[in-house]
Amino acid sequence: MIYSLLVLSSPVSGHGALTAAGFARSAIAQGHSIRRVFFLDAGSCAGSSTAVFPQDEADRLQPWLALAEDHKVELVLCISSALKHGMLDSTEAQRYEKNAPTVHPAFIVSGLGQLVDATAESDRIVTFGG
Amino acid sequence: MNADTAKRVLLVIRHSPYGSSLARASLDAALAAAAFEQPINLLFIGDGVLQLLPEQDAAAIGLRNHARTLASLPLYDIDSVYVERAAADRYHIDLALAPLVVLPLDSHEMAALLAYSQWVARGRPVGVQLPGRGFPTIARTGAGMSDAEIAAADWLVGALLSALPPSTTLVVTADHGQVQIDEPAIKLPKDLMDCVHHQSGEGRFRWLHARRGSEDDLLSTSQSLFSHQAWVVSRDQVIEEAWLGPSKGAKMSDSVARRLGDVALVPFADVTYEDPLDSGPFPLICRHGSLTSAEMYVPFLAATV
Repeated sequence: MIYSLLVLSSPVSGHGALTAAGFARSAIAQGHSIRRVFFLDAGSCAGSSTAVFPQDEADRLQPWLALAEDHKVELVLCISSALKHGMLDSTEAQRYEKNAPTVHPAFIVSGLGQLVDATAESDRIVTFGG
Repeated sequence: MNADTAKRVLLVIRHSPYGSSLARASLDAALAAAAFEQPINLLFIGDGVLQLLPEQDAAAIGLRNHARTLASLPLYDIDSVYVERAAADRYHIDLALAPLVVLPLDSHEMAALLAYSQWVARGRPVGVQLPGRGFPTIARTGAGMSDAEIAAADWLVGALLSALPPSTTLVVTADHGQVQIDEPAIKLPKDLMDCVHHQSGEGRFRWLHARRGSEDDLLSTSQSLFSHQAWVVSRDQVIEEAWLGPSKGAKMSDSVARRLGDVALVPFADVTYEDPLDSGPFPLICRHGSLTSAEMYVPFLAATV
């Protein structure tokens, strides 16, 4: 089955975002595929390359990087949510004249059309948080 | 992405308009779907109904007016908008004044809409398209069951099995089969009706009750008219041969026997007999199979979870 995930949960509040990554890994292990993970609203903070987490808490970025690296999972941050949350890739950082990009390069910053496309192309959309 | 074959997505909205940014995000997602010509329906439930308050002014809190965005949705062909009626009642929201036209649903209607949306989103066959109260009505396509009907029944059984607790056995069977009758019902001719006081039964097990003294004429006339297409039998034969039970040789009770007519027309051909007092505006296409195997042999399928 082809899944896409819609992540609304902030990576720093509750466990929705980590559960989403766990779901993706588990689905792939069972032979399913993940068409795309779309991060919307507070979920877009998942792409932060500058957030720092306490040593006794799970890292919020690493599970996504592993999915992208091991399984070529496409990670897309909603651009309007990302901008509001200070999530800028290098293009957006230049466009808005900010000091540095804040989004990890494993993530793509793009529009809601990517969510619409994922909905059309997947058997299931699973929403985390919201 | 082709709009004709696109899935129709139901977006369930359950957050108040200004308490978080999720209300805005859900409308953005709906508008994006509309921009790509993907059909989308909205269902407001719980606190989400607060988005439908008629007069909203968010200027003082520095946010966009949510009601204004909602009012614009019909311009993007988002016009199937449903609301949990109980939630709207709980907040005393007058839906007639809502920013856009909405259809309130009771809980069983919401359950049907959710089931139907899941059905459609999984690419299941449908005979009717949303909008409307979404029930999976399956269109008839020619003789027998269509592929869509079979797939629909199969899906329903699968959904039921997946919801049953362990060690439950589900039995699927039927009380009778049916046959398809394409010809109009046969009108009984006048010389026969002259012997008939009234009729009972149904079109493919038609009982004729004789006028007093016409019992023998009724049987012989009926047999000459219909023996090529039906078993034409007297009440006595039906009782003697135990067509209606009890077992052969046992006596049918008088109270039951009195209800039978004098002559039964039981067609084995694909015909049906008209009773003007038992006809509606629409002719039935599917009918009882009388005593044919189509009627009598029903499937009996069992599965244990």
